Amino acid sequence: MRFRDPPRLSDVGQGPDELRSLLRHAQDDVLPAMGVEQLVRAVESGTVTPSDSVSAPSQSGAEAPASATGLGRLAAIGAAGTTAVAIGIGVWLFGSTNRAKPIDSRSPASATARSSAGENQVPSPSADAALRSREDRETAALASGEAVPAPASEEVTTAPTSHQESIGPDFGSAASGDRDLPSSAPRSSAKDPTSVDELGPTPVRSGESAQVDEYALLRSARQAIATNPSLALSLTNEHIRRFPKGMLGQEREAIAIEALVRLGRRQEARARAEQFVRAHPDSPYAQRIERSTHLGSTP
Amino acid sequence: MGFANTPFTFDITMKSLAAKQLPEDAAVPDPVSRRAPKLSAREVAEQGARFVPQVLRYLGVPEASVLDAAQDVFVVALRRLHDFEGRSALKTWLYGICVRVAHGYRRKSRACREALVDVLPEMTVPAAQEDEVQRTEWRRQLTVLLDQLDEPQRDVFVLYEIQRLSMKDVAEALGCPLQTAYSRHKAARTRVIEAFQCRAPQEGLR
Repeated sequence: MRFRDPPRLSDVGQGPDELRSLLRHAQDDVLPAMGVEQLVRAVESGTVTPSDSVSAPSQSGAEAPASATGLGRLAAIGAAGTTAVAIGIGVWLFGSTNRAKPIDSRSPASATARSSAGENQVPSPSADAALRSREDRETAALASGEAVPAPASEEVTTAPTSHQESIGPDFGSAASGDRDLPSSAPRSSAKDPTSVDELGPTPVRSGESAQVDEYALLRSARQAIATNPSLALSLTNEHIRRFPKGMLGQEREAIAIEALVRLGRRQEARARAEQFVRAHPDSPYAQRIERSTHLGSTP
Repeated sequence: MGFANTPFTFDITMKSLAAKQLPEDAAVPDPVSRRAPKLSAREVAEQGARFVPQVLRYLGVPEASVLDAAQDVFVVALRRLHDFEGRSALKTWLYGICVRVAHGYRRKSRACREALVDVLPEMTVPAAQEDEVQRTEWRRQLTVLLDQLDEPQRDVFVLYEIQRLSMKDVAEALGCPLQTAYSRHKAARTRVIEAFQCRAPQEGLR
């Protein structure tokens, strides 16, 4: 017996427009790329066997599949370098709910349930301290709504200024939020970390700062889509130039295509969308991209 | 009808999960499940990390617990990986786990009533983060509608309308007959539209 799937409320022509819009927003409401990476790391580091985490209770991790052990060990090593920035960004990302709390200390229950994960998440006292001090700075900067002076990188020529001007007062404080992170984490290409602001942050390693930078850039782009698509587009071009092999390439393409649609450059948007879908047929962005180009063609 | 023919079963409750009372033999792969794919923790997490928090949220897990619940989903998934029969896609299997974990969290949040307003504090995000405020508002509006559904209807509705699974996959994830999934969807859809039309007129969406 075969049934045909009923039409979905989020499809055009089904149900009230506003409801469709709500459902589409919900469909797009997936975890952003940086959050995904953070969650993956948390899961991965939660699967370390007892021999890997010395102080863990003997029982913890026993349920991990054997195949995960090697990766778990890798994660423990990698965590030392990357946890600070991952959690820092995660905190920033999930700002509304968990602004000042790293993922493994969100609730006492989960902390005990995942004690082994927690131990691996905090690789060394110094990294932890670095993380905390950075979080504090971010939170403080956000709370005060004050822009932490960002060192103007030689590379960034037009984008930041146009960003500041065109986003206007509404986005003023968001923009400062965007810029305070890169400032506390000098760009990989910035030659002189001493030019960093008066808060005197401990310089973060270049790999991390590049990630933070990359994310901040696209975050600004995403925020600008609705109000200023041409800015969003130029920020994505900036991303292509500065992070040709960045980890958020798919996010960038999604933003760029949406910006092109909003600018009325549908031909370009469609061409780019087709290229994207060809290159990443299974990408979670593919659906969103297809939809944005489709929406653009039927205004 | 119901969950009788679930292709996989979870014999643990959320309580035992929280207390970390996991069976010792869980680490030993079941020799019977020869077809169980060899997947690493990272592979499993990468497949699900994007949508697991999303589906949990709309299934009614309080916003503050979404990431906790997401981790629980992966803890369960990795622990039961040897139960994964490869009959369905890994994603469909993960959806099934999400539904069960979400039920646990919903029950927990029902137990403490004040959690029902957990969306409100979200509004205190810095005013400048406009997109965040907007997203919170969209979530809230849709959650109000979804709260009108009973649990089985909501499961079907979220998986079909938000996650856009096929009905066949919905039925598989929920472990219910296909026909049941269809009728639940139909009822849920009617109810959501009714609730939407009855709601107080609100500020328009962008």
